[in-house]
Amino acid sequence: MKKRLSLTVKKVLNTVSLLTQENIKANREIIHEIVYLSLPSHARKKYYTAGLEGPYSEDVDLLIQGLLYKKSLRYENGFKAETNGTPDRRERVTVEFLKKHHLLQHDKLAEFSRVFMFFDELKDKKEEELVNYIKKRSKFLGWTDLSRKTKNVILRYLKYARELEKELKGASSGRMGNRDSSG
Amino acid sequence: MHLLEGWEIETLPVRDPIYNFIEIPREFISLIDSEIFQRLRWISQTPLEQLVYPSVAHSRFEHSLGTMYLAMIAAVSLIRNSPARLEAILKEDDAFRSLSPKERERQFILSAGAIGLLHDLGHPPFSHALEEACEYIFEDEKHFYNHEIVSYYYARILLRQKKVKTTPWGEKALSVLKNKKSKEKIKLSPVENLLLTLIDGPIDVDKGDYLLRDSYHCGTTYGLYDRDRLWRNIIITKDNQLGVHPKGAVEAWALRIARYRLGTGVYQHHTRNIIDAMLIDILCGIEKECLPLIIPDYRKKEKFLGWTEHTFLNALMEAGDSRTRRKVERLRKRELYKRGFEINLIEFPELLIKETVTQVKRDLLFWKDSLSSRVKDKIIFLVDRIPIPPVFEKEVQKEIIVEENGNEKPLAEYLGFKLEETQIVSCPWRIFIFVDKDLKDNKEILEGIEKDLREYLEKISKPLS
Repeated sequence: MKKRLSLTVKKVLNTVSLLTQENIKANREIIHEIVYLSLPSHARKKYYTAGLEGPYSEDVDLLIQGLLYKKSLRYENGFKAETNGTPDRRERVTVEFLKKHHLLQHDKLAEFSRVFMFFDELKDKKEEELVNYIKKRSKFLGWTDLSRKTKNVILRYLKYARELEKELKGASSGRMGNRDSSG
Repeated sequence: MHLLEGWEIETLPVRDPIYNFIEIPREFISLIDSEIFQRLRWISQTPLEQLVYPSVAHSRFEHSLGTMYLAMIAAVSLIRNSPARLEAILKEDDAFRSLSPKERERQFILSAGAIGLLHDLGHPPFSHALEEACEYIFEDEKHFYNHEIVSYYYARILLRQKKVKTTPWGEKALSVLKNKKSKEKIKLSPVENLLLTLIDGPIDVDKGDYLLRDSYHCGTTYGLYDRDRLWRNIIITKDNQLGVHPKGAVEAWALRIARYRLGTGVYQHHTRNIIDAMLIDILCGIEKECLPLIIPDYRKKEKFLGWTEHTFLNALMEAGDSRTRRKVERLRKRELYKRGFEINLIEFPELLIKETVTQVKRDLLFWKDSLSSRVKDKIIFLVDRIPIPPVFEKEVQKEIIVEENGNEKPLAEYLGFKLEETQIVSCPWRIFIFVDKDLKDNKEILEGIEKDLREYLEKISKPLS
């Protein structure tokens, strides 16, 4: 295997492990969302599509399956990692950021990750234009709840998206010194 | 009176074994009569299956016409079953907004038809088998053959040639074909998303046609479902997605089962897998500098237009050395390899994702090369997905929505078999090893090869810790 991969078994395992530590029920949807947010932008586009339940990656599903097969994950009211992971900076930064802004609740995380998907793919749009685009378009992607949010709520999510992206960039630039694996 | 008369779409009928008559809109006649489209007559729909099911001889041409017709049937059903929701979707689109409601619907039907008609324009000889082979022979992804990219490339040329590129249906067809591979849904307009799902979704008109057609030509019943019942009962859900009315729910399920049955019984029949592996083996043995003679640059139009299964095999014979020629002869005479063993890649989670599987395909060539000369010329391999029964599919468990009296449920829940989260699975990958006849019965050597391959896979996958 010659390539350096952004999406690995370790990344999924670390995400589940972090969620377990935070006492968050790690269902499939939440794993998809957190892995998505913690990936670099090019990798988000490579592995993920806009699914009915938000950012979705078939590869993440396959990795979960492989981990269950290897018994590195088990399911007990949510997925649980059998061992404590060693999360890299991007994973830690993502979960800490979500925790700090109370975005780790399922419905909030679902909304935020969907807004983030718009933000990540349409960075060239102006803020006002992007808010209108999200409000108008999200209902046609099966994300009706998001389309019903007020402009202020979406603006707040966009502000968080920008902040998280900035923090992740900082985490990546410190990558070499910390021997992270996902940059 | 035919299906499309209410929208002033004038059509020409042609006979077809699946629909009895296919109605072709006048707007599409010049596209069909072009050399780009006529090439599809010489590209088989299921070329390698012919070595398993002798009667299979149909082409991408008839499948494209069938998909066009079924797409228009589906579009009419959406107009009839979900008029308000569809109208809201159509009005969101810049190309449709200024049109009258009736004209919007007409353009929607034509858009669906055009996408169905043009979706397979770029198929190479031996279709998916050749695309798959490219992943083994080329190191760089940019050389992989992707029929969706090529279909878009030639659809654009064709629509421009016939001066219909800027019609609303021409625009929509191009936009959907352009995004069919990347599925950048966020950037597509709502009607483009709907059309994309209609051609490439959990229940789509591509499958809707090829399951029936391939089944018919194979002489099997594996791909049957009640076409009218399903496509007359599709709807747009509250979330503006393609869904089904309860009357069509069982047929949506039947379509997924038909796909599974045809997958296991035809597309992934063990003999078909062996033939795929033989084709890959032949191509892997070609000198790099000769490959452009066999797989030409698709942008060279004259070469592309003459690129059929017949010319492809001839080019292999001309460009290949004596060893390649022997292999091609062997394929032509149907002197097949035998099943050796298979390894499920779920045992190696690090290798499970698409990106690593692509690398594994290349790595297996090195592994094979490292074997003793006694065996390496007697084995071939294939990396393939394992079909899973539809009950476990995400599509059935979550994505296909049934709307009954305003309540929406995933198909599995509606039919009463909703599963736990851990039971919903994706198709993992497996490695098939096929061997020459004389190795088949030598258990000791086969076990040795399997042990060696497992060790190799361990080595190339990273540890879990």
